[in-house]
Amino acid sequence: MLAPSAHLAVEGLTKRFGRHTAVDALTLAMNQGEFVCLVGPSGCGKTTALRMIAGLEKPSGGFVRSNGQDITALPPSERGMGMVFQSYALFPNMTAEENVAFALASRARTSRARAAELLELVDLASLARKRPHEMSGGQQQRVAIARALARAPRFLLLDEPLSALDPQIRARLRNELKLLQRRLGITTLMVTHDQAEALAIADRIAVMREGRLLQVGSPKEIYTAPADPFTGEFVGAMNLLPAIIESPQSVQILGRLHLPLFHGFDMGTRLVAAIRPEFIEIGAPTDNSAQATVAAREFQGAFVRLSLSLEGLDRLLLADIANVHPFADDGSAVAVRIPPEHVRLFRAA
Amino acid sequence: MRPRALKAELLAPLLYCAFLALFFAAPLSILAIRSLTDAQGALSLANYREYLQAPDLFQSLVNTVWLGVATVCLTLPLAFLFAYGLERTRIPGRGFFALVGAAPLLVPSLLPAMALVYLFGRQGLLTPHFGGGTIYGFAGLLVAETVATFPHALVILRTALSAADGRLYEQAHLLGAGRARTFLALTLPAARHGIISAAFVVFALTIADVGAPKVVGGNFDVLALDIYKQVLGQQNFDLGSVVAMFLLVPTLIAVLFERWAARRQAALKTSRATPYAPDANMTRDIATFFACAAVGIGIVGVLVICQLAALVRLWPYDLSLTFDHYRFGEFDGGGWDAVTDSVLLSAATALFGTALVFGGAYAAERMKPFRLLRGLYGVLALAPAAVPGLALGLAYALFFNDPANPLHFLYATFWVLLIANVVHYFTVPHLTSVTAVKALDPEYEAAAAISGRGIFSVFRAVAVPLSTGALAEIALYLFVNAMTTVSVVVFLYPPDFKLAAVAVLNMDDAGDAAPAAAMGMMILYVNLAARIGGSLVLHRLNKPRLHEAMLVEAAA
Repeated sequence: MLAPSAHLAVEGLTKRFGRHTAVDALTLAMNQGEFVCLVGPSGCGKTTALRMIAGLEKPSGGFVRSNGQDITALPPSERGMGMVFQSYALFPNMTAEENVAFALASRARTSRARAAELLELVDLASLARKRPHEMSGGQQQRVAIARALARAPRFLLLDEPLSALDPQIRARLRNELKLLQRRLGITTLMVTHDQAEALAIADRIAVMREGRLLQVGSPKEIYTAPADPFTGEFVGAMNLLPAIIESPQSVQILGRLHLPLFHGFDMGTRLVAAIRPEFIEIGAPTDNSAQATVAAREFQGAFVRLSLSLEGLDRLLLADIANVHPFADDGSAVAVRIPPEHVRLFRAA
Repeated sequence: MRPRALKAELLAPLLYCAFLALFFAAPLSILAIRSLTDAQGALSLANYREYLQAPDLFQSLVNTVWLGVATVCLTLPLAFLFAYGLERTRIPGRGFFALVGAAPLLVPSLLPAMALVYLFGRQGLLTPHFGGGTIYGFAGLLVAETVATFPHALVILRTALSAADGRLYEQAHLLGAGRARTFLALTLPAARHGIISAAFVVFALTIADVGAPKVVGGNFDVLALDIYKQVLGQQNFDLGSVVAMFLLVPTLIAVLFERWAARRQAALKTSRATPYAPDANMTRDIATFFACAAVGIGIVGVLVICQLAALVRLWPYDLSLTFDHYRFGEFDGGGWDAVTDSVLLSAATALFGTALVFGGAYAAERMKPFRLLRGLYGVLALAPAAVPGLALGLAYALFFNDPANPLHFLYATFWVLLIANVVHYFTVPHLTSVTAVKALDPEYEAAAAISGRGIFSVFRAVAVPLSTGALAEIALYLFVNAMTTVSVVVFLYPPDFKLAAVAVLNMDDAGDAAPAAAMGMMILYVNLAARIGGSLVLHRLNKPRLHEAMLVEAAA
């Protein structure tokens, strides 16, 4: 089961709303100082899971443990957690300093100095007297972080903290967020629906779908070795191609390409072959290539993404090629080769 | 969540439900039981039988319905035109028109009726010019109720017309639809819920009004006046209760419909709608301007006539000016005390009512435990709008006058007036509060909970400061209504606590029409002062923040 040393752990965490199971037996362990992203499409239960960990929702089952101690029944304020909400939930009638001090009020005398210290920590000392509407989205986010840190929490919970921001500053702010987390060394769990954000920022990613945890791993593991077709498609772009087993060492895809692959599946099992667009090879026809027509081209800057139509494939095959590639006019015929070393096989659903 | 906070969270919804059960549901049940109790104290329909068999009482039922329908037919087109002028044209002076259109809210409903009497009554200024015929009866009631209900219809229709989506009109224009077609295909259908709900509200207000029938009703008897006569004149509480029950039904239907229409109206608003900006159209604007001006002159005329009548020595024979009618102490109405008592009661209603209603709405929307109880409160809080003031007043009289009631000590005190006013005007402030609370970020309480601060800290430090606008609006609404209402308090006021609106009624009844008008205008001036004072305070409260926000926007 779980390592006893896990800093923050959830075991079988479940939330049911009537007959609907929003979170289904979620089990996840985090180490000291780790930055974990809980990622999945909207409605997959990730925010509900976060709120149960924070103590804002009562779980229908399962446990939350902090350093091995069961904290499932503790009120939110006694779990040693700070939380940044999607909307930031800053109080618009209070200054940055007052917002932070609100979380300190039981120790009113020292709270001013402590609030100033926290704002200093997020580089906002100069804006202490400003109200939220006088700040940029990024500055508001830092006030929210300062307030979340006010009670010296052991864990920081972030609920889609970047989704309220413009795309341009999002990339910069996720970097700042990561740097701040490193500097503080605080164990952080962030919920996001943006897989690119998770890949960029997380030490480890936990992928959720329909209330269930599908895979946990480093961004590289998740990207290069997705545990199922859904994860593959959700994190980055992925081509999913129907495949047939020819022999224990060979798989046929698209009815004409034979891939020499060792696999553990029985004969006759229906498979899905997954390959990312950047691994598709376009070139001169060979005896193991398929004819395709370029249906559309998207210029992406560093590369060009081709949408290729192939006989026998009801969806378009995506292929990323260098932006100087000569074979890339619309309607032109190309030969597609699938390098077997980049193909992952899954049992078809 | 500390244990103390938790306990209070459990208590708040309970206390609120108990309050409405005790001061709303219980008195009304007593009213219903009383109407169903015969002379021997047994449950029966005897009172209803007696009522329906008495020819003159049945006639007033017919009269009431007829008056209600006629008032709807007259008020609605006028209010629609006026609302259209305010929301859909570029006529000049829209702010002024809006103020004038709302003015009848600031006076007791019998003031327009009194103005009619001054013009077309037995000693009317204009009566001789119209062949000597007087306006008492149906015609007078129709005009008086139209003026009195006009602002209520106006509020609803303005909301309905202001919700237009500009994109639809641009689209209609691009598709080549003419003005008439656009109006019939877009404007009217979008406003139809508002129109229907305004019709119900006007109907309900008209049939429940006691002031105008008293002043200008003549021999045209209506239900509301019957209750008044049965109870105050003949001490016949049984028949009074029956009539009150008859009044309740149409009001209930009106409220149910109004809620339904409001929900439909809200659903029509999509977040992507762009506000409608009227285009330049001279023909439309000139026509609408004169129509609005005519209505506005009518309303201002009513008020001016009342003020003049209050200031002349003997209307209409000696038109020299005097302040004699302001010596309220010389007339049987309660003197200047009636004004100060009314201000005291209205201020108390505003203060206590605002705190109570906003707290209740916050508890119902934001506290977690007792989902069922909070839902019940949401329903209970809507119910007072469905009960006419006269019915509630009678129910209170029956409930608190019973010596067996442990709350009997409240009977005929300031406190029962205060509670009756708060309960009677509960619904609109509740809905305003709910809207204000819903506008707050739903995560405030969660953010506070993680920070170790309870829900009451959020209420005190965040919810209340952020809702000052709504709170001021609610306080003003309660103040103005408590100043003008007759129906709620007429059966309840203690002998030593006179109220201005009741004094208007009583002085007019006693033939002291000029002091009655003077008192009525005092109510207008107090309400105007409250409105203006309220806006000034709000303006000052919001100013620095607004100013800063503008600076930031300018810098960006």
